[in-house]
Amino acid sequence: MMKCFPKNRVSPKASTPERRLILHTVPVFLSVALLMQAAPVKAIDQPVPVAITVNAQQLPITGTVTDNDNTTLPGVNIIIKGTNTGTVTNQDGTYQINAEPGATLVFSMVGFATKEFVVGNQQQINIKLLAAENQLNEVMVVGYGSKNKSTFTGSAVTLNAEDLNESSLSVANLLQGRAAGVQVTQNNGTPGAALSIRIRGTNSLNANSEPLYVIDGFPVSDQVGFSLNPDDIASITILKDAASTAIYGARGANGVVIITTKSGANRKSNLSVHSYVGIQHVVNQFDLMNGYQNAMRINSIAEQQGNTIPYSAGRLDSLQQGIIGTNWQDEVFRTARVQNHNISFAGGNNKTNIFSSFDYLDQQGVVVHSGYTRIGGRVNLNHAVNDKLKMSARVFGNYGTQNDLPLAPSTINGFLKQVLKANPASTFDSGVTPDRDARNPLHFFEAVDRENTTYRTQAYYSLQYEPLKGLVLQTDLGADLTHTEASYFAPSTVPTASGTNGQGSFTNIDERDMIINPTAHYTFSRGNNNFKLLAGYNGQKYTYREVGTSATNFSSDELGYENLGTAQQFSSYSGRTQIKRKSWFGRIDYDYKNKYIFTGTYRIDGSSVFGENNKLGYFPSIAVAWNFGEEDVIKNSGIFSAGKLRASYGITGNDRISSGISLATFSSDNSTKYTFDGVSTVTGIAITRLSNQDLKWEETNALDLGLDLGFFQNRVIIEADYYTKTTKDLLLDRSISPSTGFLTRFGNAGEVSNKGFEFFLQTTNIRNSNFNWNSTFSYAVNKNRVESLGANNSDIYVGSFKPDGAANFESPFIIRVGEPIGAIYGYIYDGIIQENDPVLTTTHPNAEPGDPKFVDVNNDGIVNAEDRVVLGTGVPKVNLGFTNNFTYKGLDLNIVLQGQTGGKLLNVQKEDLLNPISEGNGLAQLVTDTWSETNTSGSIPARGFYGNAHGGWVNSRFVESSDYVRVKNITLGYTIPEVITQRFGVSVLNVYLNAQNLLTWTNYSGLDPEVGNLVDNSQQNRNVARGIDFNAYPVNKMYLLGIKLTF
Amino acid sequence: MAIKFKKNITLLAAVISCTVFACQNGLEEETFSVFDANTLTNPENGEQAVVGTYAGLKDNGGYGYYAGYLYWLYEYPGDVVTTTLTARQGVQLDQLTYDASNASINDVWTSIYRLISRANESEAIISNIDYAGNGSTETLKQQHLGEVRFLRALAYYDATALWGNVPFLNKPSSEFTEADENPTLTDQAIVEAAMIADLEFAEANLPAAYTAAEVARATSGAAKALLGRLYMRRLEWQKAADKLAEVIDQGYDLRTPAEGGVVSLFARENRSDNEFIFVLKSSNESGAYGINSNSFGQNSTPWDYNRGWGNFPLNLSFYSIFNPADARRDLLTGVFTTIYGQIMAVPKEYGGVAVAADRDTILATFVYNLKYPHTGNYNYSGFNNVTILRYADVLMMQAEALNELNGVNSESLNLLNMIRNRSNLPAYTMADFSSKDALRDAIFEERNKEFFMEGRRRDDLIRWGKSASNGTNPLLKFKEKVVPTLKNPATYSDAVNYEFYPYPQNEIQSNTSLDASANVGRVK
Repeated sequence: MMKCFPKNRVSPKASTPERRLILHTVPVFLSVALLMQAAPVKAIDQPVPVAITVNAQQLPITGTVTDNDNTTLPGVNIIIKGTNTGTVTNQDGTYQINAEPGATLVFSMVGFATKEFVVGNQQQINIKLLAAENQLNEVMVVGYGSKNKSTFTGSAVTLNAEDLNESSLSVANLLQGRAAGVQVTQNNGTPGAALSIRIRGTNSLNANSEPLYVIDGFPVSDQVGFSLNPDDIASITILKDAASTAIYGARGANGVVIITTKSGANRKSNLSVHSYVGIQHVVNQFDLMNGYQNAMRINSIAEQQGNTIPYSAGRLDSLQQGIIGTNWQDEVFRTARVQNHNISFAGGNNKTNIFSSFDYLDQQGVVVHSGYTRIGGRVNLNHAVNDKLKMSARVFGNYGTQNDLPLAPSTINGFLKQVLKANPASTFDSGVTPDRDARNPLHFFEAVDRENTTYRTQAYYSLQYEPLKGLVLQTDLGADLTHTEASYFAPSTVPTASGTNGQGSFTNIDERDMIINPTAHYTFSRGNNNFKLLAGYNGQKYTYREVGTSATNFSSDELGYENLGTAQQFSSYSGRTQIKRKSWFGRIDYDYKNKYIFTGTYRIDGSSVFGENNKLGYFPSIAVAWNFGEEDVIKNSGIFSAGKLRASYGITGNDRISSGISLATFSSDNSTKYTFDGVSTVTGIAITRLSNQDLKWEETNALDLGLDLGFFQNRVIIEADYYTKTTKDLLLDRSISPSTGFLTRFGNAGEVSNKGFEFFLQTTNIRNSNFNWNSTFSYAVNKNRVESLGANNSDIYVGSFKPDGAANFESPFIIRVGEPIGAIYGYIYDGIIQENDPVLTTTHPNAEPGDPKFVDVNNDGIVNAEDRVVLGTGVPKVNLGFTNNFTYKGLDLNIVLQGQTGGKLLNVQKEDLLNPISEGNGLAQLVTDTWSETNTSGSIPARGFYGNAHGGWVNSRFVESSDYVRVKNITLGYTIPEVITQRFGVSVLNVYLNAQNLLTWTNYSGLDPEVGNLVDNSQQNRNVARGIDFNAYPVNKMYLLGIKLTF
Repeated sequence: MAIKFKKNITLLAAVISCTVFACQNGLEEETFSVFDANTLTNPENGEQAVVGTYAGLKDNGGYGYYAGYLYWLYEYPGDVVTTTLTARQGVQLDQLTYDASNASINDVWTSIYRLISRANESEAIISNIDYAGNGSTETLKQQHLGEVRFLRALAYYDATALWGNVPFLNKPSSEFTEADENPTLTDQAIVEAAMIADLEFAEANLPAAYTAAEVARATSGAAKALLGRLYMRRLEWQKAADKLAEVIDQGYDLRTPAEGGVVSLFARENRSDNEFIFVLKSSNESGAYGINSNSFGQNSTPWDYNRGWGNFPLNLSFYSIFNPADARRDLLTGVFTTIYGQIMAVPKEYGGVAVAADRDTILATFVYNLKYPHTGNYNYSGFNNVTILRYADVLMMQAEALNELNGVNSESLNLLNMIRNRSNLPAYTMADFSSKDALRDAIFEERNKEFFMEGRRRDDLIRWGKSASNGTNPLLKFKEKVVPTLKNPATYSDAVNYEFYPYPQNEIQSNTSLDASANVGRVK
């Protein structure tokens, strides 16, 4: 191997820097090289080493480069236009170069607009660089490397820290309303609960459809959720098309979110503090019956059922006067505090630089007893060992503690149902404390102690070696360790645990994801032909272990889960699964004069989760682009300041299913326990699933056509994309006949397509020394369609849940050829059956007056399950984002709007509250609007919608549009002039007010249209059963006051 | 330059090959915490499979199959058990207004086939294990096979009783073909032939009894009793009589008045009894709630009584058929003090003590059964025995079979009188019955009083109708008894065959061999 090294290497001193090629070379992940660029920049593989001699006409020029705030900028590249001669500013932002008068100096740096300056006869040229609006020329991080955006062939969004939503608690919050084609939904407002992101629609039915997250180059096993401090993030790049994600092969089909954390390069040492505090409250409340109204109703039900009447005349009287009774929503919802503090340091020298941070988040939930706290720290270190060897280490660790609610939101018996259905005629704290009274909804919050703590540590180490010019060998090693502890205790004093003398459990989950990732990059040019080659390997092993113990019969309640040893009876379990991945990949980037660009990638992926016969998957992609803005004829026409046409095609996959699915396994669980003597439990085994030796990757074939245009020196930038994706061999947990003993079979069948159009407009509306106004507008429309479903294309019914024990068996969603994923499937509501209604003898033979009426769609003379139709889709078709940023002197105002149209929600929450015979409370509307023989114009069926003889609870009356426009994030800030703050040694002092979810325009009649789906472990429910509003943790409004301080 | 370029390429290639070929293998799926069919080779695994199959009786616990929903299907449509207004799925069954979307029908179907599937898998696993060669015995292997085949027959008994022709899959999933994933309906007679084969195997290979620690396992007596029940359903009286006679020889007895009689049989503390031939056992361990428990306790008694949910109210008219001396009437809530302190009593016209409602007295509108008593707090431990086969049933079936074979006969009366005497009722004599029909009616009335809320009523009404009409009209007695208890008698339709439930919507929509036409004549 040694002989590969050239003996007469070019001396760095003889090199001529050239910025563009440097960007090409930036070998890898993350800008590691960029970060290191304070080191001397070298020429890349010139045909002949050029010795620079100072020409007689050349003048030595010096100067300082600063940003708008007069901060000096080290690492700015300066080249003499049309030559390969150049230099870089030093640590103090100064430079020196020899140039002829009349020559043009080009100053460029990542994140700043490039500036040209024609040399006259002055010897000092001080330059001020403005922060880049010119998004089209930025350097962006892509999979396993980085690229200048102008030579990028795919479709992606890059958002730098200043483009991300202010004061976001989690990574996903940062992106809301910011990127076309990226839909962020908050399914669950529980503090600490992850948001869901979908990029360009849903491809999969049963595989995880969240995008792949790559943090500083390392693909992580699952969502980032709250485990990353948003303040640590320097930029987020979202890769959308197959050509850019195919380098991630089997994990790229849902798009890739690449997160780059901050570094200390190119910065003077600075210490920053960012703190905010604020309050939150629920966006809305239901208008429920009061105590008197509900007591009257309960009395009448008891009367009909032959039970004792619970409310005497005296109590009714007190209720009517409001002496007793409780508004449970007021007891359970609260105005909750939130605070976040972050301190960070960045800086270093040209050999070593550091970024470090420490953060603390404390968010109370708007529901009592819920909350989330996070504490974390990070150190990012980059060091150049010598000219050829560099290292980068990144470590972060944090832990988040979620005080969870005992009844998980969005489940059938979610806590919200307990609150809304709680009897308002009962009285809070009437002698019995809530924890002792199981009929008091607060009981569930008070009686049990439930805490989930997640520790996450990620450590990455990267070595980069450049044995010869243009060739960079890099090895990345990493570990992503997550440890979760879930503890639970209910003391013996509370009804739910009194029979067992207390109940406690302790669960430990360990997740280990180890990665090794060697790559080789080779960059070279032949004349105007620029090449960049990449080859690499990725090995990853993910291990999951879970151990749990539950205990009963506690000798005392004092220690609870802190010492399960105080209990007498135990049951325990443990489990382990493993997923192994091995991948090989390569990429060729080529461009001619930056005008004609080609990218090709190929990846082979191997994964243990698939069947014995299909372990490997193959994922190629190609992309071409034409930078027509660089053509002289266009350039000279002066119409465009930039213009690019892009086309890409690629195949990506999805392997994110659980391990063990390809095998028929026999497991032990609660369903296999029995007793032979009526006392002791014996545990057996039972088959869990049908095997499938042929289980394989699902495969997404995607075409993307794009056009990027810049006008008026890029003050107006337009990006438009059309894409069409077809996903075949869907990983599908298909419902099969229950008479086989199995409800579903996991296999590959069916095809889904997503076609869409994305439009992004960025404008600098006003730009002068005092006042700036920038806007972005994004519009994305996606059309999702199920193209085929296996051999006989038969429908697949989804969502086996009942909102109430009284409800019929119904599956609210259907997967049907020709319909989008997530089609809501039910009856067409047709009013209420009146006395002597003819339908009583025809289509509704078993019904009674007062029952709901449904349309006999197929005209067969009877209303039954065959009369169900598709009532809409839970997934919105159009997503909109509109941001405006105004700055006037030190003031800045930032408004983010988010909207969606074309989706429907099945408002089960409302339906559940419109049940006149429920044991629980309901909407106030029930009092006046319930049908009876004396109130035949009432619009609520006499016995509600559950368990009627015909039709069902999934019906058109409760399918509502989920369209909305929302002021998602609004920030008003003021930066105190530096002349003042400098006296205190502070270079930046910014105070701001921020509000989130401030205003919403919607016709949706539930609490909030921004809810998604039932929280369920099944991916099928996450992908398909979207658009159901039931027992979600309410979304909240947040008002914050923040301060940013930089020393 | 060209040379250097080539060198660079060579180096790149060298690096790639080093990394790629280093480790190409190691992608096999490994399971750590579950069993793989190939690793189940020990007799202990056979025992695990058997336990898992028994667990299918309560499915996922709580309400599953024999822990609850099955008896909703068996009891609600009859004339004794009714429902509360709010129990809407129960109302559909009770008022015969159900259709394929009824959730309980869907639940029971799924549970039955899950048990059948577990039995099929277990049969294959046990068959492949060399018991004798691994320190166990061939006898135990045959016992294990007998147990799972008994359980499979029991599940098919329920399937055919509720739906008639049903899908029939007696093989493990590893042998499934594509067609097996969408099974067609098999003629009931073919299914029953397989059940008979299973039960004959079971009676030959199961022990007559187990140790106290394993009292809930299936015995040869259980297999014989179930076989007898099946012959009864098929109106094969001689076969039934012969088989039931074998059970009577197996040493079961009725719980005597001295032991507390029929009331004490159902006491929660009575964890096992020689009168029980086969029961769903639930654990009284505190951690068993919802896992190894059943829902009968909480559903049987009302809130007013001891904070139950009162989902099984019984019609008042049922109370009135009891002789006040009948010990079995004590298994009903004739009069009790409510949790609010008032007296709730059955009105006099129904045989109760209440004359009129006043400040302290409430006239009961329903009675509730006390066969599944519970503790009266929120954490219903639900560990009552749920009877599946009990000796009294065997005696009564034998009495019925002999009457069908021989007309009024002393042996039938003796058997019947054993039941009556135990509950303090006078013995019948030959003179009391003028005909086979009269004795048959008396037997069914006695069965009604003996077995209420034990899941027998629907079966009984149908068999009664069949035998009273020489097999021509299964709904003869069903209609006669049930129509008067309907809220609206017009609900009953002669166009509907109430003998069989509609195939559940879940099966119709997932099984490509079935469509909605399968339910024509089964729903209104």
